[in-house]
Amino acid sequence: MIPPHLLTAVMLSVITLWLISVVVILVEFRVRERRVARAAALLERLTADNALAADGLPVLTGSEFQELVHAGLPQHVTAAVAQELRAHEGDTALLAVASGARHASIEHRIQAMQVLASGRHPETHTVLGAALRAPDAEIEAAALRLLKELNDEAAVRVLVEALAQGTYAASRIAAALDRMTAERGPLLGDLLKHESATVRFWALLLIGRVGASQWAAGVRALLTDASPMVRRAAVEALGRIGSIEDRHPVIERFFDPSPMVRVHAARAAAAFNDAGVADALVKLLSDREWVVRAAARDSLAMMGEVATAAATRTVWQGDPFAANNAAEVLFLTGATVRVIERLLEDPEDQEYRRLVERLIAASGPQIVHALHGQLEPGRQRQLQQLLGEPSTVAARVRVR
Amino acid sequence: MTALLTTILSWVFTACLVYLLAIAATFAVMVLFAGIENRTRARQSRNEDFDVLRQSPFTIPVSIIAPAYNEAVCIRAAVNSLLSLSYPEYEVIVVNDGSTDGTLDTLIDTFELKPIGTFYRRTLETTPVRQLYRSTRDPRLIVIDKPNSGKADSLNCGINLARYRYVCCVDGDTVFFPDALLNGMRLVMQNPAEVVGVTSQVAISRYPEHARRADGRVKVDREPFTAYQWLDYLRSFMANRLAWSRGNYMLCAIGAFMIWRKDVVLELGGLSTEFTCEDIEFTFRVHDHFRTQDKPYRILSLPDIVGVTEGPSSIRSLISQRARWQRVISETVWHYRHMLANRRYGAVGFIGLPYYVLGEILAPLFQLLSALTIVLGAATGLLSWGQFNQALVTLAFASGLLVNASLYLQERHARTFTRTDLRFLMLLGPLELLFYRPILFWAQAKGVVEFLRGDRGWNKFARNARAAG
Repeated sequence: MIPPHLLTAVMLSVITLWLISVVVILVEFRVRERRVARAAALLERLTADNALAADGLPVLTGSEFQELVHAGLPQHVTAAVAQELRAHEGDTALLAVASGARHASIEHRIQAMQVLASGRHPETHTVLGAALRAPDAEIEAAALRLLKELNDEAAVRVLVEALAQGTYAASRIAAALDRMTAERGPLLGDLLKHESATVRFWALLLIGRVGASQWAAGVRALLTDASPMVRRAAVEALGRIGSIEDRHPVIERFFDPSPMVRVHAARAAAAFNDAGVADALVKLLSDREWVVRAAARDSLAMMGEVATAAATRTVWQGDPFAANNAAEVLFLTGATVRVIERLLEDPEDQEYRRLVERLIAASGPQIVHALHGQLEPGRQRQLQQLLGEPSTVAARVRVR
Repeated sequence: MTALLTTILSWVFTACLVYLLAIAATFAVMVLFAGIENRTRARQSRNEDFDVLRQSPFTIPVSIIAPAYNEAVCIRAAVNSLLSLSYPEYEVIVVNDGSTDGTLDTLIDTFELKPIGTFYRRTLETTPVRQLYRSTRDPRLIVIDKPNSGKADSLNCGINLARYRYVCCVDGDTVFFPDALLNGMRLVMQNPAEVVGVTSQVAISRYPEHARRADGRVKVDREPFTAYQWLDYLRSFMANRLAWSRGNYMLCAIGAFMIWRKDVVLELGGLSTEFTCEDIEFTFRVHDHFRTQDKPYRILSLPDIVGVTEGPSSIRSLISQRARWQRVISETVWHYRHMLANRRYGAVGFIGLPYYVLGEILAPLFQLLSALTIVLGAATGLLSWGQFNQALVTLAFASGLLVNASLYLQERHARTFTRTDLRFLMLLGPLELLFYRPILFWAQAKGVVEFLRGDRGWNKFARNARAAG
């Protein structure tokens, strides 16, 4: 059916290809292992105490240099090696490659950017700013990383401009800015007036993160922005940089139509740690969205003692959602154990008895299991003898 | 009579040969595109600022959902690996799907679970929940206990409770590497508007909890049966999915690790309980949705090995598992047959679906015909035994070549194997045709029969015997 010589030729070709592939894989493996070993040896040599004082720096290729930087070459050695490379390769050539003016592979372009950035070439910021608009995601990612590593005011300026212009992913730029230590606050204020809601959103988050309280008025103004995303970020930022007077505008956001704004308002409110805020916050325990209820519960738990009175009142509410969450707040703040201990000290106290029964009913009978570790086993038995089985208590005291 | 047989055999042989050449050419092209994609991803990975992603409060938080049905022996290691991920903000929701082997007790004891009473909105209709638990050891861990209702329903249950914008659906028997989520999410963070789904590959071992070496490489299980299963996965990811990902027709995110944007999952009504498995069907549904709406989107498959899962340890259980996969492929392709060669669906309709039809569904038929033709040809003298042997050797080394291409791509992406492991795997390649392919052939044929009969069972395989945890 098939000419014999054709089948033989096909078979031999396939076997030969297989053998070639085996050799290629093994050779490549060996080459890479050697490269890794050489990089490790170089790193060891360059991280030695007297690395720079010893008999001159080794001559590295761009890729070796980059590999060493990734492997954690110390900053001062990186700068010295980069200066050597700049002298060796020539700044003009490096700039041409890094800026894309001269055709080069993506790897070479990134290596040139790395050398310029580590060697602190004055044109670096301009080159990296342009690279943030490159069509290749790898170049953009490398430019962002290098600007973050430069960590100076000029780098912050380039990144803030990139954020405003919408070049590259805003979340990634914001994350890089967040990790920098150079002064960022003064440059962020203008972004609050940007027409893009995404830019305003990231500016607000960054203002909150860096604590740029000089922009508090601008942040307050955005609490009523048309975009729920912006309102959510504004309330979060205000929780971080606002003063005690800001608790009222934050509380107003508890009634925002967007659940995410209510979630962040609830989280931001915890920062004010005030009984009035707790009184308002417990209303969110009966919110129709469970994420809002969970956020309110967590904030109240974080407020601790201040929230106890408001949470205790809420346990008596007919809404099982609110009562359950309030019971969990009391459990998390340790108030439940304190109430039980108080009842066990004076079992005749009807007020405490009703409260403990209500707590069991609101939490569900499993609260007793949850109290393991907080309440001694002997005290648990005592409680059970006094009130009966938790499921019986829960059935008797229905939360409606 | 002999002339008629000769004519029939010649035609069948020609058809098989054309099929074989078409498949070989398809694989060659796919390897080429996979190579380009692999190179891009490796370069991106090298230039990624993982430190920022790992520590930034702006890194998108994720809800991990791990359904578990009778996973008592491996659940502890799996959940511990999930709680040890290097990622700034995430929660782990384990859904105990009515296990009968003490999975829930293991979870309660190990992670000091306490019952909680969270009322939540059932956005997706699911089986009622028996009880929710939160770990007092690590509050990021929530466990849902519910009656047995299947993996898709369990995932939906977890999605109802998920707090974050992205959900990462994983298997409860997989041990993940610390950077798994970071690797999966880094491309989402570059383009959250378009990237709606991400999957990545997992390795196979009999003992996933001990499958990573100190230097980060993955231990290759030296039992050939398990090693072949890994090679199969490796080939499927490095030679197929990467190429599909390049052309945005990635048609199967794997159940062991798939990240989805939650709004997409909710908009599409959650994972379907109507199919044997949920992963491939949901991937098809997402393509269907976005292509019909003409909205930009991407579903990516990454070359990173994110974890190690346990493979079947007996031929019977392997056949059962692979038959199920074949069945679900058939169910899904049949259900979405309207996409085939339909201009609206672009590469999905013209490349992805035809590949599934030719390379997966019709594969057992052509494999059977090829084997019968060669044997009959040799028996009737139309093909000499020498030619028969030559054909076998050619196919064996062609298969080995594909294995080597996958190994090469994997090693180009990351240092994964030791030299000894690499040699071992390369040697296994050509022998696959004799020792492993016949099992897969049988499983695929069984799967097609099961599909035609309308079977829907999961046929979970038994775990390797070892101490719990």
